[in-house]
Amino acid sequence: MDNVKITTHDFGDIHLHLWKTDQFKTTSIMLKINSALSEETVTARALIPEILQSGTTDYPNRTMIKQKLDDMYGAVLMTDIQKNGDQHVITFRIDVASERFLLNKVSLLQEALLLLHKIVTDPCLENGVFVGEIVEQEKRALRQRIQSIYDNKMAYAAMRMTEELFTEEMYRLPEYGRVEDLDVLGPNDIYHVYKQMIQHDRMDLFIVGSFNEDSTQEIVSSLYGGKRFVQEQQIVRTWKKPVEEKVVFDRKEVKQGELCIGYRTYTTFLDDDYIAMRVANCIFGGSPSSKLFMNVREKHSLAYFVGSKLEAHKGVLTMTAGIELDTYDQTVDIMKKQVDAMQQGDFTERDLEQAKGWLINQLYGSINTPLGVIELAYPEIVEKRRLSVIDRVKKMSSVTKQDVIRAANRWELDTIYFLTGGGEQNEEAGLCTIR
Amino acid sequence: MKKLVYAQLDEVLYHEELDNGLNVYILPKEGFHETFATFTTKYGSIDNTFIPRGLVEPVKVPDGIAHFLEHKMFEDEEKDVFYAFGEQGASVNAFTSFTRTGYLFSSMMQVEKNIETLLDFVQKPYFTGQSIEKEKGIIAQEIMMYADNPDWRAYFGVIENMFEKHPVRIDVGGTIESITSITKKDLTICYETFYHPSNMVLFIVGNVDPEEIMRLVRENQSAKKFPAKEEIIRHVVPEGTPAYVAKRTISMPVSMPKCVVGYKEKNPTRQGRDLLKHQLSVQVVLDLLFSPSSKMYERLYESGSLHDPLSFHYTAEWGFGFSVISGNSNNPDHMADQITETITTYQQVGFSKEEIDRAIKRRIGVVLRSLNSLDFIAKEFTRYQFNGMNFFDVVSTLESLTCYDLQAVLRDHFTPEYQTVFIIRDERV
Repeated sequence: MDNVKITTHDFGDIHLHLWKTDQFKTTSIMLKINSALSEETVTARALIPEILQSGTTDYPNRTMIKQKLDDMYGAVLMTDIQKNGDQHVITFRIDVASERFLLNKVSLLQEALLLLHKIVTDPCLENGVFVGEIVEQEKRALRQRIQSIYDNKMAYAAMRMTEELFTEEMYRLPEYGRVEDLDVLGPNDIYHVYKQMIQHDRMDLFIVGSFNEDSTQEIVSSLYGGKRFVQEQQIVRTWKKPVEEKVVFDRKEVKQGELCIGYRTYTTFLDDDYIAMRVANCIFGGSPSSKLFMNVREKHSLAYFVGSKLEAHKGVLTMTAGIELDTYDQTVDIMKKQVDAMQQGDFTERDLEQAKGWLINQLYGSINTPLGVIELAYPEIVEKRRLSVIDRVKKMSSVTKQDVIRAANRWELDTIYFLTGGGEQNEEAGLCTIR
Repeated sequence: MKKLVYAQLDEVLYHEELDNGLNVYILPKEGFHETFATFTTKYGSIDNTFIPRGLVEPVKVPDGIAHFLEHKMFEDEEKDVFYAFGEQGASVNAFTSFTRTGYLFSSMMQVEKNIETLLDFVQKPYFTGQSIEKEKGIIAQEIMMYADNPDWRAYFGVIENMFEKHPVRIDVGGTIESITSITKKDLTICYETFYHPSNMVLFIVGNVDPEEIMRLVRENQSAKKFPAKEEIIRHVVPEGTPAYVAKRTISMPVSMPKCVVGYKEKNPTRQGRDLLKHQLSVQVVLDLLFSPSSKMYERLYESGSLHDPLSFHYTAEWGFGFSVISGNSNNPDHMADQITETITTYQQVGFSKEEIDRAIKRRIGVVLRSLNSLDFIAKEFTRYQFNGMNFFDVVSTLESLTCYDLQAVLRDHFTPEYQTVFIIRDERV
């Protein structure tokens, strides 16, 4: 079942990872650029991919880049910014249609590699730094994007939870930056951070799809072969032990309350116990047959969505539920009881096998798309700890009930966060007839 | 079993209509690990007035009942359906839309067993008074979740503006009041009328042997007894009149005002190739007018009126249809004016050949990309089928579109009486 075969080649200071397959109707190129999260650079780095997409020397504005992409059979350029633990990762991705499905045969992959290289390394400049007008535009856009997180209550609660739980770790910083930094950042400052990035950040280039391996390697080596001075990041494995549980209430104008509870697990994806931890999470709150789902939703009708997830890099488990504002105490109580049940081994062998099956299925599901394959492989490539799909399945299958109980016993309550009502009340305008 | 070959897309599709009327489609895909199956009934939130099976008088059922029924189908006398799928390495889910209710699973193992479980749980209703009451609490929380979501409110706001009577204007989930009134009898009537095999499609995509799967489905179905096939009489009147309300504003907490512009479809009874061509033409025209590479977007982005791309799409089913264009802007009235002005300008000057070619290419790219996702194919395929269209005709239809087709859509679909504007702003600020 394991047909994912990624081969790695190093050119200068870029790591090229190729997976040749006819499985998809597109070829995906993904460039990942990685550096340590820091207060000084987080917001500038969040702006960089947006600024770079706004113009190159050859295509000096967004529309020209977009039109170039449209001409390449609707090639799509996407950028993303994420946290891998305390690392800050910028991603550029271009997807092009596989040439074998088009009436006119053209070399879209080569064009896409050239375009991506231009976007990343040859931005449109003014007086030797980023163009002031573009910077202002992107600052405005980012400000709005950050503020609009509030429109999605679940995302807002998750962001607040992260701030409260990781007060002493860099992970508290939101990957998309902070509004307060936007007031002071200028074209000069951002360009300086960009230069540092180009010179010192680790870069990984993934190509997944059908292509000619030799000519692809040749193009990549000619584009990125130069020597840089890369500073590799080390994963940070220090964490604060909770002294006592922290409880935070935010009062806003909401109809539904968002409850988040965070436990430290002290186990990351680099630990041997991590797979048992994933099984524990699955039985606890990771699937629709989990304890949280069965008890909070099915038995007590307290929530529509309820579940838990692990943060793979930080050793934290968070559970969330959308509940009536006045069922906070009851829900917290039921959730804590489910933690106790896990720690005492109150689950069956059948539950265990069911959870393992679910996770294995999820794993195979995730490698059904080019993006899934890359996202699964990347953190392990960076940490030089690659596991094949088969090995993962083997490890998962051998997890025992004792392993799961041991994993659950590492859980320690850290923070409870509740986004609740009682903020400013506002009667809706008379014309509103929805609900 | 019929075999349909789509050479350009490198796809082969198998089809058979079983004796009980169930249509089964199988799309084998090599190299993929997961198999997806959807079991879908042509029954959604708009089907609220109909003649129940075996009766002669039409009834009107409570709003939100199709969605409620979807939740209740997971109840089983002997086993927990979620758990059963989990044990067989599958994850199961379901959705309700305006016109369909679908049950789906994905799994990489025990595909045959999972197909049987899917067919069996959907074809065996089990409702108890107690479990119906319990579900009301859960769905009430689902409704509250959507009520706090401004994008959802905006979407239904613009649809309510467009339609006067058509039940598409009612939220798929209903209201807390309407679901509270749902009884076991209501659920049974809806189930018996709409879950007959002849009103359903089973679609399977993944690394499967079509012969074997078809045999399994045939056996499973022939072992069950169903009443005779009967035509379903739905009392829903197509609505192609001008927009019901021209403009409306509501207030709720939002970080930035939201503006949604809708264009109601005048001719909402197209089906088959006709609908496919029309739907793709409208989509390409929307791309030409509002995509991130359009002149309008560039102008609004650079002036700071817009920060993120506009979202837009066209939806059409038998009886209703509409285009929706939406975005966030500090000046939503200005945004609505700009949308109208862009359309009017293009109606006067038309599109250039170059613009049209680029937009069609872009759409083809979007479609090919979406075909990477078995999940997407599994969900979309049935919608095409229920409207007499073929999902795999999309690329060739796009390639066949002419300037004339697109200019005609630009002229006829986007007219002032059929337009509506819906705005959400936070009136405290």
